[in-house]
Amino acid sequence: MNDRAEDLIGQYLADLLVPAQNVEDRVNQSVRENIESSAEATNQRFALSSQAGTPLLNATQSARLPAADISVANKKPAATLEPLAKAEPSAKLELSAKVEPLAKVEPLAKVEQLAAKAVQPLESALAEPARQQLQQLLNSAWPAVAPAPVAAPALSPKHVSAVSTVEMSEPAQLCKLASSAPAERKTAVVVVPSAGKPDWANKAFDTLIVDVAGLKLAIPLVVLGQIFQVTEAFSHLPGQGPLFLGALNTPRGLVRVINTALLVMPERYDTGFIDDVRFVVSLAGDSLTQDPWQLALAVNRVAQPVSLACEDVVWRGERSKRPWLLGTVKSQMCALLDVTVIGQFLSAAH
Amino acid sequence: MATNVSASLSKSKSSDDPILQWVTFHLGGETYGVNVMQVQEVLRYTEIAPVPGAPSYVLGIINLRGNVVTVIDTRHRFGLEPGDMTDNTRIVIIEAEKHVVGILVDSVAEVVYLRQSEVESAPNVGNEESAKFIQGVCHKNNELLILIELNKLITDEEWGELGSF
Repeated sequence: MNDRAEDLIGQYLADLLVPAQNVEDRVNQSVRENIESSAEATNQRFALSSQAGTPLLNATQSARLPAADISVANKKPAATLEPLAKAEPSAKLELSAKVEPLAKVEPLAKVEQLAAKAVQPLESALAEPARQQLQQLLNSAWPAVAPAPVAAPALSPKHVSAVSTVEMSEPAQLCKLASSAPAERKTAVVVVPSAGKPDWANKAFDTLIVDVAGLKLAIPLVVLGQIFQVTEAFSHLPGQGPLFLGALNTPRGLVRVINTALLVMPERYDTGFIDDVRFVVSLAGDSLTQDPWQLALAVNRVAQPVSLACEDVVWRGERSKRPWLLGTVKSQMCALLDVTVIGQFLSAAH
Repeated sequence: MATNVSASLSKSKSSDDPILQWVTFHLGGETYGVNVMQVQEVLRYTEIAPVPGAPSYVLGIINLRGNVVTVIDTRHRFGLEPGDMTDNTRIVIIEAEKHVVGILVDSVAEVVYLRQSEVESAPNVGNEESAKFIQGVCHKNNELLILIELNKLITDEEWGELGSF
């Protein structure tokens, strides 16, 4: 195929990158008209139609181009289709006679390259204004950080109000959200709400799995103090709320023992839980309660510690209900407790 | 000279960390203490005459050598379940806010001496009225001693109610 024929095909493609069916119809129609209107082309009609058919096919195949390219092509105004008729002067039909050897026309791959070439100028033709508009659209599609979630969970001000500004060049810290970030956005600074995820959860962390009235709970080790075996009854303190089982003397001093079962599942609470409390797990993160007494969770059993990564937990974003629930550990199918919130919750309740 | 210094140091230390005496009693399996200076006497259980229309925390009245003394239901006040009377049940007559009342307890234990430094602050365990009765706690002899602030046991309004009996 000579250069002119290639140009012609390229021109075709450039002008005809519109929805495939429309292109097909319009090209067929214009070819038909041109053939009929050209007296000289009577003998070469068959060859012409096959010639015209080749770019037509390729134009159809352009629909297989990446979606972004097609959408860019589709943005070309319909008016640009009009040169189609212009592209068919009878003189050009003569050209096809020269090109006759059909075998030369056939390399589809080459024509596809041409099609790609034809699209290229279109994209560049979109140039700055359209490109900027597209960029803006993409930017707006990116998970914009609404400040709303920050105010939502009043019970967990530390975690939830912490809206962190994160460099997208640190995908590890952003878990899945970051991994889905396009490469070209690496330098962009995106404000990501930490939702219910505390700072320590940005890297691998250990948890202790405990059993509370048949429910498995994971307690992060970073906020865990000591584990004490219950060898004596809890001391009832006058006026203690229902969430407290009482005071327990431990080698580290007196601790306030929380009725964990009542705290996490009040609707299914069974008083028999108290009789089977074997351990109390003191919490190190209770300084927020502004009480010198340590808090401790009453549990039935203590299992092995489990190491978790950020991705192993389904973090909760909304904490209006069950504010103590930080998330769900997928591998263990158990709840991850937010001890800080528990401390604040108990303080607020008082 | 050295003896004098040591004695003065000891005196200074004791003034900084005074020793207090507490009368301890049992109630609902727990051990409580009240300041010995506020305890007038301890009586065996005698029949308590109920008073119609009295608040729920009042068991009734007793006749103490010609004086009518109101007896408080301490279990009720401390949020405990009602208990049975036994041979060990006592009525501790106390003076609080210049009023004399009796508090019913399961049994009276002993008088203990505690340094101020041994007393720990009360924990934050609830918003109920009874939580404010705790002056502090002390862990001694493998036992938790809950020290009661008697002056907060009954409010001014309640004293007004009791005065009308």
